[in-house]
Amino acid sequence: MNRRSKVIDVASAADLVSDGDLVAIGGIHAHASPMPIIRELARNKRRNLRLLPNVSAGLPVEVLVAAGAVAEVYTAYVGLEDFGLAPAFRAAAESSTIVVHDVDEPFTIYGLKAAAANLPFMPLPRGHEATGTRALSPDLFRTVVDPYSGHEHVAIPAMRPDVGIVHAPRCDRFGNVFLDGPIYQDDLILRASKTAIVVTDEIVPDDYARSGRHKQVTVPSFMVSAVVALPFAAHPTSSAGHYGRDERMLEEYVRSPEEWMTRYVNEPQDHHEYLERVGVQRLLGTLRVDPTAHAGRSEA
Amino acid sequence: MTETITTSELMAVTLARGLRNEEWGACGANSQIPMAAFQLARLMHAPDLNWLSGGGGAINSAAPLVKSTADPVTLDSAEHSFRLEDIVDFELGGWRKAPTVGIFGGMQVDRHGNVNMVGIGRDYPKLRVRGPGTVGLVFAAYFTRTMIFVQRHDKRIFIDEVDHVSAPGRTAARREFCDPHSDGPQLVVTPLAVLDFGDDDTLRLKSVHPGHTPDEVRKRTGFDLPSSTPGEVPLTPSPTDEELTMLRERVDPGGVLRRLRLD
Repeated sequence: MNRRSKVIDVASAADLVSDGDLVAIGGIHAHASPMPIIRELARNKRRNLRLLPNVSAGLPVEVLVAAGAVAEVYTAYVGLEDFGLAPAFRAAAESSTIVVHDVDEPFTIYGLKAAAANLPFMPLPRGHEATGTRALSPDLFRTVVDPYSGHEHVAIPAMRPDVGIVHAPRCDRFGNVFLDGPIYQDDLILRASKTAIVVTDEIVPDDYARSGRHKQVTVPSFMVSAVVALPFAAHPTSSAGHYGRDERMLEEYVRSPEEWMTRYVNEPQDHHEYLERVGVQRLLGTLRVDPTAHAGRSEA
Repeated sequence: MTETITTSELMAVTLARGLRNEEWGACGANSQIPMAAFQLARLMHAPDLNWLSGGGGAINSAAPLVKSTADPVTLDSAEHSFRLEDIVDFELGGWRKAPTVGIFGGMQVDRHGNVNMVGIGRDYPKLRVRGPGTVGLVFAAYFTRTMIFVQRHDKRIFIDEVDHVSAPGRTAARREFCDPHSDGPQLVVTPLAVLDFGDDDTLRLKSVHPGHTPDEVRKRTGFDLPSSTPGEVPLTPSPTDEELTMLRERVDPGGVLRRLRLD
């Protein structure tokens, strides 16, 4: 009997997400976001999703909120970094169309870490109390008494996503994940989620991991439920070792979000039609073909 | 150096001079000025300063300056990379390992150095302007010290009291809940001026940048700003030729800072 391949198409992967699910999304800012599945969910009119996005999320949250797919967001940060505030998120939050849970980096990361370790919650060292964040989300940041010292600490509940979706530059068809660039929180998302989906630019050969490369495998295959392989699988966000973020695409979004949603999310029937709309010149322009360009200088 | 020094370059040099050797520093997103400051300090007076380039996790990156702190290219010349789990672990307790310094900004900064990124408006959750969120500002409660930078200086950002405390300033809550080693904000660098804190833990005007006046700075600040020193408010010291050469030729050869828009 042959080992099972976990490679499925993007529509089947989107079917793993149900209305109302708690969905974690990997990457950070305009880097390493699993955009093909995000677009598919937006087009298929998923409803009432509860998002636990990466700690500095932008475009994936924007696309899902703009599509009306979102009920709640656990927000450490939703914005477009140097491109400013996130217009769809902002409008939905200000009109109370979505519920925003104000959290922070420790909440998202330790919530996932607790779930991955099968712990009920994680206490924080003293200091969080000096911020006003707990007062904004008192049901999420509760307190616990350290049974050893007797001191009170702010606690964070385990956050176990129904589905976690991350992008990986490379992966094998069994689900061994190579996060060649920054790992962000994507290892935690795959470990903590009940169903874990990887969208990748490149499928490596079956014996690639075991050819002396086991330390390059960031997350092992048995923590991954499904793999989707597509060219430019993170576009317009970046993919380490492959291509940079498409800044023109982000500029276009900020200039006219609704037109952008129509042109790049609602109208294209699949990922290839999306890529055709972006165009060969634009796609090739994002490629990082010179590995020495960012090698930096000697500090010696 | 005949080319005009831009405000962003002056801010980067000012922050760099405020960094100390053997500190461990961190910045967040949209932080081209702090990224340049960390790199410049390492090249000038602080070769043993360690620093983290935002959520991408690059430690001691020597990559030419890029716009996005978390860009994967920052790893190409880094010594190590942190996962976000490592970042949170370290930044919640980093002062125990080495003195730590965070550099960050926000939507509102008040006279005690509290910073807000949640949004504008006190009637939560009905905010007038929904902000991005608190991100890593909570770590201000744990860093040994922090510096604040803003890319705009007006009465909307510098207000008497922030609507929500994302990063605690020099406050009673800090004294009650934070480790005594965590001093809080020490310096604020803006496109107009440099501010520091007096003995009463409120902001003062330390220097004004060339081309600006104390009167202008005070008119664009939403609270009283006494002078740090008696007499005339000094000008912010200009970069030396060596600093500017290092900054333009080695830290930021692509001119990211020179193209940065400040208000």
